[in-house]
Amino acid sequence: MKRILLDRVLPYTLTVVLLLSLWEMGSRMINPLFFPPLETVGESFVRMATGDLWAQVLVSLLRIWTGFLLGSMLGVLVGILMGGLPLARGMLYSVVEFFRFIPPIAMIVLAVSWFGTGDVATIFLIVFATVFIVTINTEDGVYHVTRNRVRAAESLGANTGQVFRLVIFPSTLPHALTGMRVAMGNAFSTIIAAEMIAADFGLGFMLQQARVFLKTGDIFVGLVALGLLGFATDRIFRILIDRCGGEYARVA
Amino acid sequence: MAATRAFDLLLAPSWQASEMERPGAVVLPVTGAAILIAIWGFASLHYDVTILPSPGQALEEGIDLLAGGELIFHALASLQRLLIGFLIGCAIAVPIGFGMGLSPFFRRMMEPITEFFRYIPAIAMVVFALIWFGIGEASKVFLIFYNTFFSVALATEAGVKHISQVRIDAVRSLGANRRQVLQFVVVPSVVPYAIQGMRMGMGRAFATIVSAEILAANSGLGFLIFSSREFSRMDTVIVAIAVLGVLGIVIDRLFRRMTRMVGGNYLPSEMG
Repeated sequence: MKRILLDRVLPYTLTVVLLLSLWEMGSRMINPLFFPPLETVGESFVRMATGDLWAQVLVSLLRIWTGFLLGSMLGVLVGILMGGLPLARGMLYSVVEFFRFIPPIAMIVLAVSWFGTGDVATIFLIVFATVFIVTINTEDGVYHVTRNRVRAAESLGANTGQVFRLVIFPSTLPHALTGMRVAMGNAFSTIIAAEMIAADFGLGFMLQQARVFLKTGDIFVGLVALGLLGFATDRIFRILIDRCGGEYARVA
Repeated sequence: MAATRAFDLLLAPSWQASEMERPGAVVLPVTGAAILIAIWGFASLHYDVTILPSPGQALEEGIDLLAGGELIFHALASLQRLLIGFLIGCAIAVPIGFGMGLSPFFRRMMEPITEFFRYIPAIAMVVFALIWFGIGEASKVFLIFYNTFFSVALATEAGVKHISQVRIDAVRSLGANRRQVLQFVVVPSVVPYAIQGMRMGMGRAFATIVSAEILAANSGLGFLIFSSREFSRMDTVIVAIAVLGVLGIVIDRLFRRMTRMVGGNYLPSEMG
């Protein structure tokens, strides 16, 4: 018991107390607008929680999930195609690799010019942030399927369909999920930037408004909400990867 | 004969190919890119320049921007910010990562910070960055620092934890002193991990700098993109996007090469 206190509780509390006191010092000695005092943050939270915080969060989440699901489905399909057919792989690999390195937010001006501001443009950016990384990971998974497993299944009389369903698919799934986990991280940062620029609702828009009106307490609440959402989503993916992987799992 | 062989390789599912051959290493990617550009060209016939310019128009604009020096000016502005923030981030993150790897107490002290902030995307910090540091260079450098720091610190920590005790014991039994253990085992084992973290941090920093420049800046590729919006110069936007893609790939490849060069036989099998 004493060990746990000394080993775990002490270092955690040390840092948290240190950070909080630095923050208080900042707000007292530098500028309360720069470092909002804790009671201001509390007030902001109460006001926002009884206001439209939840609606803003929900809108952002809906955009993320729509774009993410569309992008992931497309990515898995193209990835399987590329992993399976050398012709597709040869033709698409460089193209996908090139697009993967374009920061999704750079597409915002094109997206707004094509779809106008609002849902479609932001969802397009999330698809863009998701699809290439999922494609590359899925492709990698299919391409690196252990050949002896395929041979074993084939020598037991499996046809191409069965090889795909029983060997290729389960061993690719963890790779695809790993790609999706990274993509989800990208989606979170992309949606914030996208909503700051081209939306009139959502977490990003809310943060931008708070900045313009210098409501630093609100910013703080927004950041914490974002952090919690990111954390929860990441944990869900880890659990999914562990579950779906089974004996094929290779969690990165 | 050779032709049928190549044809078989192209159409047979890859898991049936007995060896990892990659046919058409040059021809196929070029064909793929050419098809994509052809689709783009065909689509651009149906839209206005302010919506979708043709590949030719984009190329022309690219040459203009390059000749006028704007492209290089903005690219250098972005790269300079990236480099400064990145170097500061690495300089602070590597020692802290070492500390976290070596001392469990220090690691637990850092955990509330690393665990909390790693789920807050850097771009969300832009609001604080702008309030704290204004819209000048400092706010962008801070964001890059923020991006780099967590990736590099956590990667360095992982590297220190993965140093194999057997290797340390081996050099010790050959008579190495502490400094030699550090020089010949610890540092070479950690460096590949640290570089891997730098590569990931750089990748994210790249996306962040573009967002930050879109939101508040008067130079940089992000600024070039966003300022072209006012005159609907989509050709300029496409040129800037293409330059971003090329820069991103070049930087990533540099880091990969570095990992292989310094890693040598210490390279963990999953890297490189």
